[in-house]
Amino acid sequence: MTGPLLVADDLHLAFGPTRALAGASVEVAPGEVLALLGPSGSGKSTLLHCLAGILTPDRGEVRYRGTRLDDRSDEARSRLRRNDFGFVFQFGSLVPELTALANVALPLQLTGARRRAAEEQARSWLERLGVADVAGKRPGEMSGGQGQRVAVARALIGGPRVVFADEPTGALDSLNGELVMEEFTAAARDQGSSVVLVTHETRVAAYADRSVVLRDGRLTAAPAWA
Amino acid sequence: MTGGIRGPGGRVRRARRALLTRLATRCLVTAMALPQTLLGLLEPAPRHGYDLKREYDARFGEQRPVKSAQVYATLGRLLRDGDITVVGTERVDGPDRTSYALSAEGVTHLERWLAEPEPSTAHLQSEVYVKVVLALRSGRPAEQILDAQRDAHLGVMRGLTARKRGADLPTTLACDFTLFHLEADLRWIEHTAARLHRLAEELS
Amino acid sequence: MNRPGRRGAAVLVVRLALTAVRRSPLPAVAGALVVALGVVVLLAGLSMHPTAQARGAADKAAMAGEFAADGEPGLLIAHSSGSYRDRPITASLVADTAGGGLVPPGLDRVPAPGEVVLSPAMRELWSDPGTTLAQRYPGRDVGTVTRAGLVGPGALVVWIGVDRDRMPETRVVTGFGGAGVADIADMPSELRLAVPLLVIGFLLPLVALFLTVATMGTAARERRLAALRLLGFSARHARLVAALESALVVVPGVVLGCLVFRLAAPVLAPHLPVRGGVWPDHVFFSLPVAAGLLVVLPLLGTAATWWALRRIDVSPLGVVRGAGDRELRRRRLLPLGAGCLALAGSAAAGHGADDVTLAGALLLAAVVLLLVGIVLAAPLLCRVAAQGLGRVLPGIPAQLAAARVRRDATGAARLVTGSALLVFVSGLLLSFFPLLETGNAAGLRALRDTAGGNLLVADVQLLDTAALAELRADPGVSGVARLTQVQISDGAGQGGPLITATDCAELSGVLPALGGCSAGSLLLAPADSDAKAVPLRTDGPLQAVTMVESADGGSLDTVGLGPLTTSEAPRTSEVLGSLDELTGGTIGLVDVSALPAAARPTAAGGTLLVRPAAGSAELERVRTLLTRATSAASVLTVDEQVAEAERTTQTYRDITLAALGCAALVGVLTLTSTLLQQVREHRRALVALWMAGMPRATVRAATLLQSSLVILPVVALSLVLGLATATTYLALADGGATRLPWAAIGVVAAGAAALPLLATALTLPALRTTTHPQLLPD
Repeated sequence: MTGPLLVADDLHLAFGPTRALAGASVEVAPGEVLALLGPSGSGKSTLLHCLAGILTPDRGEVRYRGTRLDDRSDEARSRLRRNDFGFVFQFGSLVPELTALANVALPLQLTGARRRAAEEQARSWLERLGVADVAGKRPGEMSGGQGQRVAVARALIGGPRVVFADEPTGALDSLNGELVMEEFTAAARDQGSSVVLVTHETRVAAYADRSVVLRDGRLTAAPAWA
Repeated sequence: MTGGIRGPGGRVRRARRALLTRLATRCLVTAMALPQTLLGLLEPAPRHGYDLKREYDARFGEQRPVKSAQVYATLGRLLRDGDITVVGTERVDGPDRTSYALSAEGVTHLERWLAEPEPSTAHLQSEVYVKVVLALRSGRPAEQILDAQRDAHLGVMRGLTARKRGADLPTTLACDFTLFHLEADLRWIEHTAARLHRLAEELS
Repeated sequence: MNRPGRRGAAVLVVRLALTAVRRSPLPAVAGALVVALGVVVLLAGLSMHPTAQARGAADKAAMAGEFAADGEPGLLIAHSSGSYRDRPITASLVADTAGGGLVPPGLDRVPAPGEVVLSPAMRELWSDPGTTLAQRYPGRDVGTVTRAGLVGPGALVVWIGVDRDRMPETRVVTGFGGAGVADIADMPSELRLAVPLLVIGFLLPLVALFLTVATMGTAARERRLAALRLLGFSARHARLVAALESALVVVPGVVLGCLVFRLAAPVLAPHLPVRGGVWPDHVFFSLPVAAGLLVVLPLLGTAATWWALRRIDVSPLGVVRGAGDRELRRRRLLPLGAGCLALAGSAAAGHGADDVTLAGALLLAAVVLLLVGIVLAAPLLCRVAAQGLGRVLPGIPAQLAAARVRRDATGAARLVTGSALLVFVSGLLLSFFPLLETGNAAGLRALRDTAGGNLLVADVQLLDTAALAELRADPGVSGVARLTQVQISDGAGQGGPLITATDCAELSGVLPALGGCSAGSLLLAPADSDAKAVPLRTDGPLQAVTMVESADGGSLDTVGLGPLTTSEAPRTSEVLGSLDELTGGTIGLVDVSALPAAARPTAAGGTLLVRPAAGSAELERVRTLLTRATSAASVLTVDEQVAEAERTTQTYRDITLAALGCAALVGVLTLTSTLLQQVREHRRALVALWMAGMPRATVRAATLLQSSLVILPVVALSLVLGLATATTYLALADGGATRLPWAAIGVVAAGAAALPLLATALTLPALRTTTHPQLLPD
């Protein structure tokens, strides 16, 4: 496939009187790891949510593989999340009642896989990310680093085209954060998934192929080494 | 992009390579950018040497005091290179005072220096700070100086992060040393960027 | 692109919900218990009518239904009512006229004179000498009344064989049950109407509470839903999951409720406080009804959750509640205003008596509009109250409470919606009470006021003079008097009004309040009383009309009365009027000494009044003596007769209060569990307050105040509206003659206000365990 995988074109979005996005544009190439950097309130998470079809911009458009994403129905966007996207958030993207193994197996089951097969694959992902020992634990019973590794495994297991990661290491110390990032980006690159990474930490952004900086709802400059 | 801050990609890439080389050898050069600073101070209007020293001390002297002889020697070198020209001599209660002005070549040199990101050094922020102040005084977009610096730093960080992949522990820790320093610089850049407007107001 | 397999998704959803229940079982178990309790109440309500019908049918089958003229083969039967320690006794004298082979239901043979047949419950009492029942209904125990002759397992029934010539009854019974028996209803028509109303009245707050719980939700559920949305569940799908989850709580609740009812009803039915208890198989638990509940209630719960979540955006980023207070528009007051207008319109139409149909329709519309209006207006009212009180009340707790209510008035109002509806509905339900108290009971209550409630009254079947003498001599008896009826004439014609003949000396002993009745006196009721519709001249000589029996039948004769002192005493009219209740309407009292011998009372007929000695604990013994003296006639105290007459009202009151009590119980349970969850979820805010130096007591006070801020105005509003509606309804129903049971309604309102407060108070201990600094970092 040629051309960008995901395009945001002049997005505007306001929450009441608060302007979150004011003309943000960005492109994500297939297989690219892109970091969205910026201070708190710069609109980087909002941009990620718009790119993932979770939020709908007031103005501007989001295109995924050449077609509009922002005007699709909730049903269609949910299908995209199921089949094409993966997510790693700072907190709570795991289902609190399910074990690590069941959480990781969930995306496969949602797309119709049998439980046994899904769990087998989930176990190998947990092993790959070095958290096979927490397979039977629930999110509340794991450390932050283990939880984020499980979340990474769950985001990648379905072989998504894009993984959206919002401050994936926000709750971790710097060493743990780097280890998670290392494993996350390596695994994503291995299977050719693009990654949209929101962070305010430059060392985390350094794991990306490219960084863009948001301030006041728009990008500060065009990419320097595109 | 306007203002000539960002040069053609080739030049930046060269600079980046040079920077990486320097970092890899861990040869941290402390470059005193006195000539370029004097060019910047001369830009608004012609000055004589004593005036230049006074303004330099007022603006940057706290961090790096400069001797008069250093200023005159540098002015002589700049005059020799054609970056400045003599515009007049006057005598006021004492020695002769020569006024200098920026030449067209001097402006080019100044702009190139402003546009070029600095390598990471222990005194980097001073260097960038000087650039930001000078840009603000001259009405140039100082934000772009910070953006360029951030991009350059991020590029270096990406390079170092890539180097760490699969590297042995000494190399990893060496890279981390630089990464953390770069991160500190970037934080300063973010703080400055967030308060550029107020800085411009206070400088004017 | 493949859709999640429907089966796979369903299995996943169920698994998720089950895991959720396993992980935090308390809310789910509490929810299921609440539903189970609701189901038990619902089943009880639903089985009330069929049970009453079954009892009615059983009664009917045991009643004499075919009759023949005297002399035909058949049975002579005389029923009478007795009582033993507030348990009604049915005693029946029976005599076989010609051995026709007819046997009353439940008996295997007709008892011969001197024999009795007893129901099992009766035998238990009868064989205990302390009860004196064996003396009251003497005879040789020759058999047991089986189920066919009993309305309930605890029914006290005795069949007494007597000589044919001692029977006061002359109609010959030739068959039981069938078409000849008048349709008797165990449940008055008002109650038949009330049962569905009660069910609705109970269900409304229940549904409101369902909605409350569904909307309040839990943080865990919201995290789960958000995580599922992120994984690709659509918003509809996520709502469906939530709805199914609520169904998963409701279904076990319904099953449990049905099971409990199924198991408990047969055990409890015989002990129900209704006449004779209830046969277990008269309590209808039909599988179709249970299956219906199993479908309807989960659907209701699911629909409620679905509806409640419609306003809530379950986004992949978490659950976003509606914009909340900004959305509180004035137009929320419209239904309430419309309801008030409809009520006023109904009152006006009813007052002018122009159009009762219109007034009724307007009233119905008003009830519906007000029910909706209260729910819609409650958040606004809460916010206004919070704003006002927050300004007026001093202290940090008040400020904190007001701020919390202002921030989420809609959520706060939900706490009280169930209670508010309960108050409104109960106002309507309780206004039925006064309507049910019929004139019959009013006359008996007047008798109780003038004669005292412990006065024993017996209809004389055949007076046993020996037993009567024993009764008079008994130390437990302070007075005995007999009332009979005599027809008198002023000579203008043979027909004349009835007058009550009694021994004035004896009667004054029984009824000290009665004045003007002495030897040789004639005491006439006041001139305006109904009984004097037949004119009687008292200035001339009066005659008693007597029956002269002869071989070829009987003829009427008149005999002159002795010298009389005639008086008309208005002061005694109340006693006289209330005596009418016993004698059936006469023009007054005449002392028996004034009657000619031919007109004196015979052994049969009349009424015997017995005043037990003050404070006598031996009422049952006296009753036994009296029963024997009157040949097993009905012997009841005035109190018992009043209770019998008010049985409908009483039953209705009991049912209503039971339903309200159950609704209140369900309410407290639901609210407590929901509030507990809320406390848990807000624990970080609470800990923060505590860490900032706010004492726990202040946090508690603020929590209680917060509930009061919400409860008091809303409950007050529904109380006022409920009373207004009830008043309008009563005015429409009987022209405002009856008064509202203010006390009962006040108690219900106070209870409804206390209910959410109680629920809040129950959560206060949780604040202690919740406000622990270790909980601060989640």
